[in-house]
Amino acid sequence: MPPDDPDTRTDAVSTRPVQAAVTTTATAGGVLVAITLRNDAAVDVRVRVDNDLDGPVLPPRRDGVPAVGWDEDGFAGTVPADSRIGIGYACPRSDGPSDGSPAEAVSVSVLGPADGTDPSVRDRVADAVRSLGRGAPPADAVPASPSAESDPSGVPPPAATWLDAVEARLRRAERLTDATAAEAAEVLDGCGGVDGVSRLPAELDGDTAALRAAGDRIEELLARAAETDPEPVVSSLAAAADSEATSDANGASGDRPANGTADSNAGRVR
Amino acid sequence: MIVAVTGGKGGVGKSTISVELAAALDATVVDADLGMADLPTGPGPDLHDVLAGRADPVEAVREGCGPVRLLPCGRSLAGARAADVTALDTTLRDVADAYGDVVVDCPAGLKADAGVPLAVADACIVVVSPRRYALADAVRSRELARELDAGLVAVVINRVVDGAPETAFGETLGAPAVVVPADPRVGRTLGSFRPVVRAEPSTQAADAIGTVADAVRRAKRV
Repeated sequence: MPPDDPDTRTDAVSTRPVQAAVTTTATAGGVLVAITLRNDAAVDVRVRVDNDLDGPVLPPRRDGVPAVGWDEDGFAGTVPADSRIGIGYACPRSDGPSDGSPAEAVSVSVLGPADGTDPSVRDRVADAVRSLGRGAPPADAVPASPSAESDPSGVPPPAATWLDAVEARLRRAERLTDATAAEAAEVLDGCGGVDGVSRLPAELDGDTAALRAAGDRIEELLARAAETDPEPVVSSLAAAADSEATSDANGASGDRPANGTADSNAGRVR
Repeated sequence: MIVAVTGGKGGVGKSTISVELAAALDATVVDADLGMADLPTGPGPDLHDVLAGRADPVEAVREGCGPVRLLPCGRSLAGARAADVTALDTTLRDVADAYGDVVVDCPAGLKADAGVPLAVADACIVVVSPRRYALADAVRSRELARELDAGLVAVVINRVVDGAPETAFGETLGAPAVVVPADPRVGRTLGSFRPVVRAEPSTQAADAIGTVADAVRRAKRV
């Protein structure tokens, strides 16, 4: 991140013998917090870093499991003697960028010298997942459920399912049109003999009628859709509702005028 | 006590030994092979549902469907993908709290789905085939189990036809090696879901499973 980024600020926190440099970066989705912990002592020191921002801690993850030392409130770990470690997390805050200083984002406490029984590394299940990796099948190998499937052509799933079925019958009919005995036998092989195609002509007639009816309906709806233009009225209604909500909020908490400013800033960013 | 039945390779008989051992210990067998389950299943919630948070572990245990209590696993890839393997920890402990001893049928391989049951289990059994090179598989399985703090109770050399290097296995692995002779009745355990320790208790195979069960009981007392 560039040092002159107006959304990035750094503060120093000192909790002897550990010095912490806390950097917060405001992003559209919340705040990124980076902490450098420096241990000036000649022994390893256990530290605890707690999140003081108004929101949950989103820690770094490996294979879906929080990295070693992280829990829902923050981080616990060891800073080796005369060296430093860097940690960071994200906090999705709904109320926009913080007005407080970065040092107020976290509280750092020194727990004492490390005694080799760091409790943060004793979760064997999380360790196993982190070190071995999940064995779950990749997403591409999982057949999508019909409801989750989105047709690349943009046709909604129920209609796409119906059209695919029609197309399958149509393809079979095309292969049987003016087919030689050998070609016909190949089609029959693929669909379980004569029984598989005996109803094909009747089904195709039904499909043709249904396609025509659907086509007519689609054309009619398209023509009606082309004549509508609700956007101006809807946006003016939304703007009116917005200003009403803002004035309500300001009225309820008169000591927080920053609220309105933050809202209008957010609106401008978007 | 939670006992993991493991072994790096597929097809060595982990599932069969799991059912036999559960029958011998009167334990509940959990089919933890999330991607390639092969213990019987049926209607009702399974381990995929439990690990996806859709069912309670105890309500997914099948009682009275056969001689062994069973928590079956689903067969779908979507279920395997949705299952959170870290939830196996509380799942196995909940089943152990409700029913006592649990035997976990682990998947092959060295991924987290094979590792997590070992991380949760108090002890493990390694199952290998009676081949010379199987010793290397057993060593790898034991190393993984050791890394995850599951003590090795016994090595099962499965489907032995004419003699097995049990001394070499025992000395190398530092745990008793138990030979389970090839027996078509054991081969039918999964299909019929009738363990030989119950159906044919006087066979050599049932005797060998009994030896493994004794080793588990001894480990439990320690």
